[in-house]
Amino acid sequence: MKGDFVTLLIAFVLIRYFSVAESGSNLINYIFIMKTIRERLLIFSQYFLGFLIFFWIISEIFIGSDWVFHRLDPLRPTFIGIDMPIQVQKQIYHIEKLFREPDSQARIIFVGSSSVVNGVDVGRIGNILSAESIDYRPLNYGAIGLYAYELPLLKKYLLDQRNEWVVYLYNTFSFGDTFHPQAIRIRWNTSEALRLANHSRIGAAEITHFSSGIFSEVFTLIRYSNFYEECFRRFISNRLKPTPYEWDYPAEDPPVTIKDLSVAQGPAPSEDFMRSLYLDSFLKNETIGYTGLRRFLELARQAGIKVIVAPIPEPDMAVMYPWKNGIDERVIDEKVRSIAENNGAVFIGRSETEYIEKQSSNFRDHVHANWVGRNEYSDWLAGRIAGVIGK
Amino acid sequence: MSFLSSEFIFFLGIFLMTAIFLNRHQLILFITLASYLFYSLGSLPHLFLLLISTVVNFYAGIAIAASLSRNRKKLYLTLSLLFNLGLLATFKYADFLAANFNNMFSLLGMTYTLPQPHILLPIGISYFTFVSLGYSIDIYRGEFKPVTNIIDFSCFISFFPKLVAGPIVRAKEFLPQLKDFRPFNRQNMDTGFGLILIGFFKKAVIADNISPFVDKVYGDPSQFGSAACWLATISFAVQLYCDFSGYIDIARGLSKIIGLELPHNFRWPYLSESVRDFWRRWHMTLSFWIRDYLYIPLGGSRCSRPRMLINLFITWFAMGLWHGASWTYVAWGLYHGIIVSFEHMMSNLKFTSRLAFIPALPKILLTFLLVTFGWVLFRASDLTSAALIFKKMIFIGSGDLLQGVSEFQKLNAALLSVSIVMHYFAYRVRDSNIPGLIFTKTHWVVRVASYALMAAFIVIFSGKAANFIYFQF
Repeated sequence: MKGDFVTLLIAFVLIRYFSVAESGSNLINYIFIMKTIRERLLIFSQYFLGFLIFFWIISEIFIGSDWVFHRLDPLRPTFIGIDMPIQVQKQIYHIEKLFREPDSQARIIFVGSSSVVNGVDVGRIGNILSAESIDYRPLNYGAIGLYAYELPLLKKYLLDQRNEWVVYLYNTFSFGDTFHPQAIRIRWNTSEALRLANHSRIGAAEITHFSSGIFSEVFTLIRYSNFYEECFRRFISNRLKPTPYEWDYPAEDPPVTIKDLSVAQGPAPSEDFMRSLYLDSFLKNETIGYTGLRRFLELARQAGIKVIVAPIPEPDMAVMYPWKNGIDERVIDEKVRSIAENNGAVFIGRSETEYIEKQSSNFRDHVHANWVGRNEYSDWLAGRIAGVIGK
Repeated sequence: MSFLSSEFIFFLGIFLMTAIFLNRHQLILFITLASYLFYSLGSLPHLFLLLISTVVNFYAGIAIAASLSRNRKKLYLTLSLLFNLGLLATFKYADFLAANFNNMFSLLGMTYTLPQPHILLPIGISYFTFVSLGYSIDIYRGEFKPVTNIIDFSCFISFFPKLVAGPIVRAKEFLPQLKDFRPFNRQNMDTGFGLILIGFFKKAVIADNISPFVDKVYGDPSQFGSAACWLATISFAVQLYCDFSGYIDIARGLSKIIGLELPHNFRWPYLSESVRDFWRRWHMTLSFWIRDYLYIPLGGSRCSRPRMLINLFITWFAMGLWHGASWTYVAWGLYHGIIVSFEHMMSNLKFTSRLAFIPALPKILLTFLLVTFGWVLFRASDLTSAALIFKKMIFIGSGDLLQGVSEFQKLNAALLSVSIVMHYFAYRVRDSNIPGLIFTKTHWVVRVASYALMAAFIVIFSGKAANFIYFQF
């Protein structure tokens, strides 16, 4: 009874509102307004919703189809000579293609930054695991500049039920407290990002991030637009060729020992983007990076997926670089170990790969392994994982 | 907020979804509030400036109209002019004026220096002050009665499609429409959608893809030869047109969807047969504004020849300065002033009428050449850089002709060709009803599907998003 009264009251107020709003206040006027609104709604739905539906069909049914994915992915360009957005897009495109592959074999996923792209040889790891009679399909889901906060944002790929194990290999800059501006349009999940960003930090920049993130999350066409354009350009100039190697740098890239590393450089200013990531990871206990890792481990546990967390080897010489200068990686490792072990993940410490980190000839710069380092690390990683899985 | 940003798409979606349920009065208020939100998302502190300007000009209009004596009308008009020009002087020209006074002081051997306030330029200030000025002058001249509803006036000043980069709308064109406009009219929706997509195509696909080459050459002209300088300047001519007319197309399209009409700002300017003709087709709302509110009040061409030349000089000086507080813009304005003055004088000679047999094409090419040459001043970061580019363009054989020309890729050539074809095609079909026929003869599903297809094309082939060039003015 009370509810009916409230409903009637609301209806009365609405009718009164609409009828008084136009000149006059009679029933004819009200009917006229409702007719106008109906017409407008019809036109709006035809033009705007219709437009969105057709755009979605073009984006998902045609350009985003499995058929296109499986044909375009092997033709993705190499790192050298392309712009950063294309690089970021082609990596996620590759991950999405792997994700869409219809195999039913259990998978083990290696995820992390470009250190993982260049430092983990899944072919080599697969062979070692097979030799140990461990039947998993190892996949490299590394992507340039991938930070810990992005793990829950990529849950669609990482928490697929075919993934039995996820190995997260972090860098000492992975736990920064800012969204990666170049990755928002490509590696995004709005609901998870909203969960990570607390309300006090939603300003003009976040409004931009979220609004552009939503579009790319919904439309494949927007997410990979630069990649598609690059492929088209290569196609018309007859340069669309199969990618010759999986990593960013050619396999024959020689070991690089950078001479000027023998001279220590001063730290970069804290407002430098890379420097702030290292500093946040080192100095702060709560960042979106640490929160993101915690959230991801929680989601993985709910999905029944086991996670291994370990630092990816970074050369000892990296502390000579302005970005890592003065950063004690053991402090970061300790924070990560605590989060991992409290959330049911296996943590592997840095001490086991120190022998790789000490050899600067295993690296091509301050974060990326060369082919020597990659082989050495992949062999160690395969053996170590076999040990963990075998337990 | 840029029309190209994803925030704007959200803003527009929410705006239109709400607009469905509003009647005309509510919609005017809603447009006004939405326009303020649109402006504040770009720069919140400058919103207060816009609000103050609106209130002052609203009451100035009423005061001018209510004054019985001519002197009092003039007094209120003067106050309005002082206020609006004062805003421009403070927020746009203060640094420029101080720097030039300081240069003058140092030339005179004086040690005194004026401080430069370094005030952040409010977006669209040149537009909304000119709109307000035009309103006050129209009322003073008795050509328009002031609006008595401040909401209508606020909507007129702040209407978001045209707020930051025009067109410069006159009160008599816009305000009467508020008495009877219908949003979501089917015909307007098609025209609006078409204009928006054409605008996005011009801006995102053509202008933004051309700009990297132009930026590279104009960033360091010493690294490029004559051919690259010519190509960059021609590319800039196309970029600027696609950028600005693209913005205007989007603004007009949005306005159409809302049910309001904004004036044309371009009519195939690069097909002009003289520079005077060019200014009747390029940024028309600004050139007509300057003509009606500055050139004609100064005496126009109905006076002695020396006086007319002085009038032209003042007009083109103002035209240049309107575009920016820099000597390059002033030089660009004066360059056009000299050519227009020359054309004026030539048009009075009997000899000129004998040249009527010359076909249109050479005239169009010569005009394009002259206008393009002027764009060097418009684009160059300073006069020294402009002089270097001029030198390279004129003395073709003086250095390595082809230095850096490889930066001009096939894509740039393709984009220039597409824009020339589009420009010509649009001119050819200007009086035909081809777009109308397409709209009436096809089912709405086909039309909407083709809009989606075009949008997909724009998304893939858009260049690196840069802000609209005319936002800075």
